Amino acid sequence: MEENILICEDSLEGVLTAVYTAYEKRYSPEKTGIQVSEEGNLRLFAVYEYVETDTEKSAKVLRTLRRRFGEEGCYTICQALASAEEEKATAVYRTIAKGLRLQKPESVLLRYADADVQTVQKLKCSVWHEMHHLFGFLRFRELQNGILFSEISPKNNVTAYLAEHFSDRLPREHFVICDCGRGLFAVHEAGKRWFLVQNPDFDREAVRESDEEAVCQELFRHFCHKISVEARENKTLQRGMLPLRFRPYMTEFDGK
Amino acid sequence: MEYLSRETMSIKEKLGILSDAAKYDVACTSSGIDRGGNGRDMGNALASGICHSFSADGRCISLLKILLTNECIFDCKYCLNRRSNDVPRAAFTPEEICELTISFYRRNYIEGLFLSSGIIGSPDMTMELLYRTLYLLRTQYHFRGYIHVKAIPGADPLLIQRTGLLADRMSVNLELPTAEGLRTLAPNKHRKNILSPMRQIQNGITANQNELTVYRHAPRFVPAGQSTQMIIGATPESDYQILSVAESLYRKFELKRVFYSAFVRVNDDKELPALIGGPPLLREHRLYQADWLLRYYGFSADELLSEKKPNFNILLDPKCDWALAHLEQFPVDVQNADYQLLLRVPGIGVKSALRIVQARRTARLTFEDLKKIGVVLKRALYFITCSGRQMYPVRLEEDYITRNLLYEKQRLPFDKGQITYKQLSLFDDLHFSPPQEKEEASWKKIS
Ligand code: SF4
Repeated sequence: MEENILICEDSLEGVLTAVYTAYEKRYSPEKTGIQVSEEGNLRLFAVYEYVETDTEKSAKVLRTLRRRFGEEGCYTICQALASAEEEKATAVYRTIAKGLRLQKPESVLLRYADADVQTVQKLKCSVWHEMHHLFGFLRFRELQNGILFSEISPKNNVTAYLAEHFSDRLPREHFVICDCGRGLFAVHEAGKRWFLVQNPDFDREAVRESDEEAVCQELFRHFCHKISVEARENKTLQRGMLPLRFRPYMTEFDGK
Repeated sequence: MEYLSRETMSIKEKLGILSDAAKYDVACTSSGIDRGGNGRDMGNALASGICHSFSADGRCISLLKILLTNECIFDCKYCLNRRSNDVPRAAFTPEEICELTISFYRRNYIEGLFLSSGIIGSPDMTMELLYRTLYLLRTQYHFRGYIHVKAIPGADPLLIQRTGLLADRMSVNLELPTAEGLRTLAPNKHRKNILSPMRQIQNGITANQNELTVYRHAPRFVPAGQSTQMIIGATPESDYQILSVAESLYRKFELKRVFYSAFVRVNDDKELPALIGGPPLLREHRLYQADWLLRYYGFSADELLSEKKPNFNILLDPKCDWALAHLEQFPVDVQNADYQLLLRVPGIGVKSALRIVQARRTARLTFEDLKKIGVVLKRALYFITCSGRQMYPVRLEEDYITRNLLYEKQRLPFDKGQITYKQLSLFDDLHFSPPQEKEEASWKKIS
């Protein structure tokens, strides 16, 4: 039997458009896969087709998900799609398909013995963890014009979640969060709704810190140093709790 | 003199002294309350708490943990700030604390403030200063982030009440598990003085909850609950005594958390034990594990320890240790064992137990599934069956299982390289054997 493979853009909208397409064409979920890049192994007996991202279609799917899977179920699905793993798209698609056949679609997410659900839960969990890590590990620097500026390089595409969190927390601040790896910027203007920009015209050299910034950074470094109990020193534990990959962006590690 | 130093000392120097003096307080969580932003003021709070960094000792940095001052009129033997110590002293003004908190919070260094203090002048004067700082931070700086503040024993209850309306969490440190311990090491403190603000806060929280059911917008009093801390290993109490004290604090005072702080010998005092192996970290770790079992797994202190067995097993965690002593209750079948029983299986945690219960409604679970669900099979396999079958043919025998479990090297948070069996038994030797007969009565009646 032939397999259909839909190839789409690696974004929430991209994958949800592919889900829409699969439904529209009445493909059988068992024999259909979604791939977010072309790099996967080409398979024999598979028909490949490209799906152009369509925000109207993806918005429709999102509405359905919200209605049928509930807020929480929908959140799980979207967060799994923020994963950097290839396997996410097919697993999410099949989980959605299995769920929609049930009276209570969100209950499909509790089927921990189902391979697709397992994948979705696993991915959601790792995205959530990285997001939660960055809630804490992200650092803002104050620029001369008063804007708070942050650079991160997360594995998963968590910038939107961070922007949501920080705009709730710092409603009256201008801030920019830059996912360096993806060239994705979240921009928040005081008192307004945040938005994302991909590869904006941005001059890294123009970033100038305010005069107070260096003083504040020094105070924090001093604090972190003083708050540690020498008799308990344990760098292995520290490394376990705060993986090295976050440190280049953290004030207290001074880029080390 | 004191004011002179305040004027001339830089903020950095003050911060250095006053965070250094605060570091032995182990509580640094920012958990217990969900408070969304209001679209105007700075700050929100997440019930799960957020860790912002980890210091070189591997502990979480979540709050700006500082003392208002390290001046102190008291002379607790274990404390660096005690009156009789000749150490540099400093004091923040409430404004300085607010400025620091805000500039750290904006840059996402911290989740909020953890403010404590030495006793300056009198308990009332100290509490008044803490109150003023919080008042300023909440009303002038409009800060909505997390605040944990100490209630000073002996301070005017009205001041404590008013402070509690500005804070998220309050704590009064029990310091030492027994009244005897307190008497020898903290001559200025009295068990009664510590327990009465604790009781006051508890009652305040209850009254506030009742009020909130009637007036939804009533101001909230200590919404993230109260906590306390005990120093472990400065006095000769057994693990059983300590855990029983913790249990009654949870039951009778409805505390959110009890923290255990391995004793660090900062003063050379003949009343203080010399701990050759350093702070008793393994002991502290076991107590945290057991504390977890009390709070989330439905265990009671008496199930885990007893007069006959007053201290935790050095080699096995408290849950494995319990299971091995209760083999008659195992194996349990994951397909139908009830939730409470699943929780008691080594290798099954709160989350995996819940997932098992959810997943088995629609599927027969296999060992492979359990692994994916998050069950630690190498520990659980002795105690469970799937559809009536064991994972491997293993014997349900104490010695056999113990040997196998020990073979799986336990992961300890302070394990620098590897702790060998020998080193572990060395730890064991460092345990105090407590004089149980006499103490029993006093520590059990904490009410
Ligand atoms: S009251 Fe005791 S523990 Fe607290 S600061 Fe003073 S000497 Fe230290």
